[in-house]
Amino acid sequence: MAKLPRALLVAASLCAVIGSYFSGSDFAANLIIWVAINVLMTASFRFVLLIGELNFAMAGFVGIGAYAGGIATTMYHLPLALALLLGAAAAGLISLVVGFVTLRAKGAYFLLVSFAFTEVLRLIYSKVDVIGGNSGMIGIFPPAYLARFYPAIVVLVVLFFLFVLYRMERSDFGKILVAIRNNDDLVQTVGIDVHLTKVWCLGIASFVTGICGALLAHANNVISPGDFSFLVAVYTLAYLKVGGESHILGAVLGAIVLTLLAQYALGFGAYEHIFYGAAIVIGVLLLPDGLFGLAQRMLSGRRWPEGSGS
Amino acid sequence: MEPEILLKVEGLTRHFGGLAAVSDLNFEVRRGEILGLIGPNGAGKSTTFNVISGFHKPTAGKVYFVGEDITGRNPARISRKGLVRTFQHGSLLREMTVYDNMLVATISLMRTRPERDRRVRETAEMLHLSDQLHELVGNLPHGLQRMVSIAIAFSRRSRLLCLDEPLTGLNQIEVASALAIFRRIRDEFGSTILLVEHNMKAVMEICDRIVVLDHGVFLAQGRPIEISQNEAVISAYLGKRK
Ligand SMILES: Nc1ncnc2c1ncn2[C@@H]1O[C@H](COP(=O)(O)OP(=O)(O)O)[C@@H](O)[C@H]1O
Ligand SMILES: [Mg+2]
Repeated sequence: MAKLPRALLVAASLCAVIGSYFSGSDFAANLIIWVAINVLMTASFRFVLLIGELNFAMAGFVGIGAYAGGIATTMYHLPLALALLLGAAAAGLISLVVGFVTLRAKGAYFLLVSFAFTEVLRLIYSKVDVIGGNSGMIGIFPPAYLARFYPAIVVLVVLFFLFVLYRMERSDFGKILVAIRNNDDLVQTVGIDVHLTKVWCLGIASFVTGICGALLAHANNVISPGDFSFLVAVYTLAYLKVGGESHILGAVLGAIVLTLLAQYALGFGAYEHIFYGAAIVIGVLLLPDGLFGLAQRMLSGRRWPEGSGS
Repeated sequence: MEPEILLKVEGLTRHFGGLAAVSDLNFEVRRGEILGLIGPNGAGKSTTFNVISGFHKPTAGKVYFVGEDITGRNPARISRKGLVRTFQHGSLLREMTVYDNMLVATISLMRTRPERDRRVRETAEMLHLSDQLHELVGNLPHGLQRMVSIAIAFSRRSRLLCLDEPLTGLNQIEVASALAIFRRIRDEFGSTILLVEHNMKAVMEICDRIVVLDHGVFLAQGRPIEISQNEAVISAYLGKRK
């Protein structure tokens, strides 16, 4: 059963990599980059949803990754790989602290702090002049000799981390995450520290989110505080709702379809938000398992393998 | 060598606002016994479990497990020391398979997947769950769900199992089968069981000793035959029930 989807995935990935290398126009190249980054952001958002938390702080961690990556490149002229890694590490480490403080209590605590966290970060970016203050940071380019390959690099990095997240979800660690969402008290009674596990989950997701931010910074070349409002998380939630939460491929599908559709929505100008709002509503009302669930049902009514142990 | 007294509860008190859910409770659980903890609804049995297993801090008093003071430790640490408890209202991971429910229970105990896998399969075999391993727990009938709760706890092979009303809603055949399993857990694996249960017939049948609570206060303890003839228990507890 697993064979067909796997073959499909490999084929699609190859197409994406090759396509992104040969994509002629700048527009096509940028579109591929945006789609790829949105895919990974959605997968990372979903990873935290495995423990049942809506990670609206994600927007903040994208920003941290973007600024850290941007600083590494523009101020310290570090190699691209190192800039990406620094973006990821900065977001990951800060998220460990945020998670440690906010994920202890049950309830909407984390969600509420997430909003505040995101807005405070934006305030900080706008007040610090070395990183451009309100007008933002400019000149974040990948090195010239890599510019041509940048779309392919982004796609490869995204595919790699998608695979990592997928493997983690299927590992015993991933089962603990889902178990926490199901019944965190029970998880404690079998000797697992729920609080620390949640913190690690957020840390891993935010590391990946940080990569997304750094990739985005080097794709857009310019970043400003306004890019990292909590709307980023709202859009991501829309991708996930439309794509389907039950499988990581739902995150992939939703991000691809909505990002491409949103290109048309740009024509709506100020009504872009309505487009996303409508997408969430339609996703929730008409597609209980999202596009992935729909595809699943059309492809035979059988579920794709989920947990292992078989 | 394990001490004879596995769990010792000393002066245990737990208040909720003005309500004394448990007051100055003293009792001990001896290694290898099945000890019943009974009392009318609201007597404080579940609260006692919550304090013993670290989910609630006691207002006063101490809990000793294998000779060590575990008062106020977090539930995960207490569990790793060998005390596992179930919850009255469902100890299940409903969206996960029976297999994964038990697997999660073995993770903090064993390092490798093959070890965990073997433990899960052995446990399923013993609790007659081998045919349901890949079903989602939420889809199982009530009786099997209760068995899965016990299976989760038992797959840890803990020294002490604290079961909170594990027989609720089971039919006679299921109760008999559950009791047989409790005995095997004790006899073959040397586990000790602290059992909160409303099914008096089952309690009288399986327990070596019984502790009775009423309104958070210790009322009596003794062998089942003594408890069933105890005047205070009959008037305070059995008398109130139909
Ligand atoms: N978390 C809680 N908050 C407030 N009151 C509680 C809480 N848990 C239990 N109680 C109260 O403590 C008393 C004992 O409850 P409990 O231990 O559940 O009794 P039992 O398990 O013997 O039926 C009851 O009056 C109950 O309402
Ligand atoms: Mg109770």
